[in-house]
Amino acid sequence: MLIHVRKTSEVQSSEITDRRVYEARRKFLQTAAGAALGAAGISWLGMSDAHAGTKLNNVVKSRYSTNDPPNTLQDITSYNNFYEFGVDKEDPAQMAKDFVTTPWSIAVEGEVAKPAVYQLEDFIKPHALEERIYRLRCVEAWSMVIPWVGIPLADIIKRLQPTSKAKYVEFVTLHDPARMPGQKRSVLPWPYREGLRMDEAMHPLAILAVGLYGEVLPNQNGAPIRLVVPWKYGFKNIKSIVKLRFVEQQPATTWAVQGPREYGFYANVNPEVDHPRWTQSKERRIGEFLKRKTLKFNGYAEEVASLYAGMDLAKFY
Amino acid sequence: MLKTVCLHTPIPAFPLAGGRGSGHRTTACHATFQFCEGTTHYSSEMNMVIKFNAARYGKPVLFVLCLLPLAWLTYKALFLGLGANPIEKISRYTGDWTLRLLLITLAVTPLRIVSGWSGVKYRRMLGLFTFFYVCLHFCNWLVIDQFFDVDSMLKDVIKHPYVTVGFAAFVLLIPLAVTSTNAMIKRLGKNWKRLHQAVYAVAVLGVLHYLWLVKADNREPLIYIVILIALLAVRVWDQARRKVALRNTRAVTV
Repeated sequence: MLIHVRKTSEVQSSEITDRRVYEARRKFLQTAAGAALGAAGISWLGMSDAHAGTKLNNVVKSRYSTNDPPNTLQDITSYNNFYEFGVDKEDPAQMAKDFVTTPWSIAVEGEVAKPAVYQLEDFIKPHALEERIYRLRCVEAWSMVIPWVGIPLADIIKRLQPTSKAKYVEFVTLHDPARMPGQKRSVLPWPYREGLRMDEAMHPLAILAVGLYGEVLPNQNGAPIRLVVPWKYGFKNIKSIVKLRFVEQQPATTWAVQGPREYGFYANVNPEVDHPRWTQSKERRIGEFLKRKTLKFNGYAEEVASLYAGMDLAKFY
Repeated sequence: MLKTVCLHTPIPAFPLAGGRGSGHRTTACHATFQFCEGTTHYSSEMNMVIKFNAARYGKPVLFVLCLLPLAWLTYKALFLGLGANPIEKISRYTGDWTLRLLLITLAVTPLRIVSGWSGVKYRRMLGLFTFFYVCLHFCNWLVIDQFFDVDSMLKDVIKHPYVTVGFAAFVLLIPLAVTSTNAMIKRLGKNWKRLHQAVYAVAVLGVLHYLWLVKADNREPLIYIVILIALLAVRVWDQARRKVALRNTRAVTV
């Protein structure tokens, strides 16, 4: 009797792919590659589809990053406010799953040299992506540390050439109830609007984020492009931006319209100015048990305090 | 063949039977163990079997039912996780169940008025479970959320209206829970009823606590408010109806 002992290098017949199968697979891959190449021309990433989880290339580190350990991707993507996708903090992760962000255009209007509508990829292409690990302090007294990937807002604004009349920049979120189901109910005056004073917008800490943890921004976190101003309460960080408008007058911002007694235009993190619902002197860092003290300007006082010199921050909250 | 074994102890019928004041009182003789020697005959007597079981097992079943929300929370905490902010999750969950049980407790009388079914014997248990869940809610705040930071808690109670009313509702519930024993009911006599009317204030403060907590979407707290108003309206309507009836009888006698 012959007993065949198989060498480890030997290929078993069961491992050999059937010819029909591999031919079909090859054809599929060729088609897919062709489609991907075709799409690359219009993609700001040079990839077929800029969806969440796609790795971002050439991201440089920034000296503005904090050394605090970042929260997990799970925490950051499963717990946040994004009323366009539901009012519970666990809603956006579920409701924004099928949100399509390609193609995406951004309108630049108002006091600017060349008002125009840009495709997102053109809007971003001229700039280098930076990783910015920032603290985020929500007005509801919880906080996280988030490794954003983005572009300094100042760089973008310089390129857009606002006129001398531009004193503020207003940001507007997409208004499309079919794609953003939370907008079907008038929980807030849609579309969501935010704004910054020009010097705030030009501050090196302010960025427009397009990524998280080195990858394309997940839908629930404000894809494809959102504002991040780390010294202000979270609600200033407007998501899924479709419009930038340079204006002379201070723009009306959504939460300040909704509850003027509770939310102001400036919304600087300030442990000394209490909120009618939440004590602002402390915060719970997600993942930690004991509350920690809230720092003035969320710990960025050294960089930004001078912007507000001489202002009564209890009045301009 | 159907054999009925009598227990000789009068047990009030499970209140689902008969209307209010209809005088139907079923004794154990009619609602006792039934030994079926076949399957054909007992269907007409089946109601009785259910009645008996409810009378006997109603409270234990309700007890277990009232513990289910806590069991689910515990299960989630142990096996599924409570998300990124477990403390907030526990707070919302125990707060929700406090309000729900409070409204269920307050629904007992209106339900009797409307349907004739009196669940009054379950009311104490419902009320005490309301207190149980509010204690969990309070302890979560005291121990886990604030970690005994007295200064911070005082500030929270004084400065934030939603905490103020919530705290007031909790404090008001304590004497009601303490005086829920039979001995206390006896000892307090007429005053017991007067004291326990504070539950209406607790309910109003409780729903306000929720309404003022919510930032923009008032839908859920408004549902609680509408239910509370409906429950109170039934009572007011019933009182008015009784007054009219009383006046009419007086008019007749005079």
